[in-house]
This record gives sequence, C-alpha cells and structure tokens, in this order.
Amino acid sequence: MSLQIKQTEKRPGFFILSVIGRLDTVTAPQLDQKINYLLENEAKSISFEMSQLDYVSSAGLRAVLGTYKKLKGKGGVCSVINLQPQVKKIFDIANAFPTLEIFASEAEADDYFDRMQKGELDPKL
Amino acid sequence: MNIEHIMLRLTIANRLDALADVNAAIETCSAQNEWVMEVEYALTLAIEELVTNIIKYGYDDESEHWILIQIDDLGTEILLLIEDDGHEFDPIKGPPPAFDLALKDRPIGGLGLHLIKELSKSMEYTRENGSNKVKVLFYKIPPPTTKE
Repeated sequence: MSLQIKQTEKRPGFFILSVIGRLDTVTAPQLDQKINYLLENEAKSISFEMSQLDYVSSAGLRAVLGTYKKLKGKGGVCSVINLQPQVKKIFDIANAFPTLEIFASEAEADDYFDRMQKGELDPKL
Repeated sequence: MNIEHIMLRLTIANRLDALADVNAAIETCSAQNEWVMEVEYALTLAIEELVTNIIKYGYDDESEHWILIQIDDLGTEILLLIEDDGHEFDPIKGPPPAFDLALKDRPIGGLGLHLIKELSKSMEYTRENGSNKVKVLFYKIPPPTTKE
C-alpha cells in the first residue's frame, strides 16, 4: 500500500491534506514535495487529515514536523486531524503534541482557524 | 535463547525500494501467525527504521550489499534479527531525541531508534566478523501500555 494525498483548500491559503495509506521512508518524499509546492504558493495553514492513514514511521513524522517548522517560520500553523490509535501512539512517543495542534475532526479544525483568522486566539508558539 | 521456529527469513539488497517487498512479506507473515495489529506495526516499523539507517549510512561504496532480516518465534516473544556488513554502528548507543529542546530547535535524528526502543521489550547489538547484528525482542501479546 502506498500513499495517496488529497488536497482541499478550505479558504485562501488554508489547506487540508488527507493523507491516505502509508507515510514511510519510501512515500514521505511525495508529501515533502507537495508541502514545498504549497509553501511556495503562500500556504498559511496546513492540516493533515489522517483518518485513513494506517501507518507512520519516523520519516513520516519528520515530514509532518518539518511542515510545522516551515509554516511557523512564516507565521502559519500546522495541525493534525483524526488520527487512528496506532498512528497517534507514534506521535505520542515522539512527544509531538505539546507543539503540534491536534483536532478530532475537520469541523473542529475549521472552527479553530475561523477564530484564529478573526484574531480571537493566537496559534501555539 | 530457544528458537522454536523461524517465521520469516529474507535477504534484501541495500536499496530503499526493497522495503516494499519487506512490507509485503511481513503482512503475509503476520496473517499466517495471527499477530495482533500492534505487533505487526512494531515489527514493520523496527525493520523500516533499522534497514533505512543501514542503507543510508552503512556503506560508502556503490556496490550491492545484502541485508538479512529474520523473525523467530520464541513462544511468548518474537525475535527480530537484522544483520548487515556495513560500517560498525550500534543503534542502542544512538543519540536519544532531544525532547528538552523546543520542537523548532530539535534535531530529528535518532527519532526512529527511539520509536523502536519504546515499541519493543529489549534490544541487543553485537559486532561479529565484520557484521552488525541487531536483535530486537517483542512481546507477542503487548502488555497494557504504561508509557502514556
């Protein structure tokens, strides 16, 4: 099983990427390429929707955490949505959540970005 | 260590695209031996992380090398053995990830090995006759996680 990426632009610059399948050493470069393209095109926020992501390894974590770093450098935000338990466990072990936003659903993420755009809250630093 | 039987023995070339074959073999092995999902995940991840390290950092030359992957049934435990003829490297002594640093300052190297240590029971490294041998032991039925 390989990796499939579906992209939705919720509002200008706010992207949801559904990552489907496996995010590992072999497939992570595919995601990196996509992220770099979005960053060149003024992405302000990237949310990874992971309900259909079955497997992540350190290479996949690096791609997600790398996105966080790149976005933060530009004042943007990065979040993860709807992780399967086995994938969440890997993010937990890597201690990724004190910094990375995590949401239970797209609606929750959407609400957060809505409030953020209105200046009602600051993204985590 | 009493090896009851070998569940999988596979030799792959030092190319990342060989990982697809490895994953397919583990899936089959998991189904045949009725592993619980956590065990299949932990073994898949351990192999990917260790083999990737070997392929990326183990060799300076351009020639083809072979990496042995073996999985043994020890009754209540599963033993993974990975053997390669690359540079001497002890993954157990690899640097732990720097959790005390802010995420933005954190060097990400070492993360894969940290994941293996957390998902396995124990890990052992030996250097014999110019080969690295890494043994990772897993519970067949993982105990309830206490590392929350």
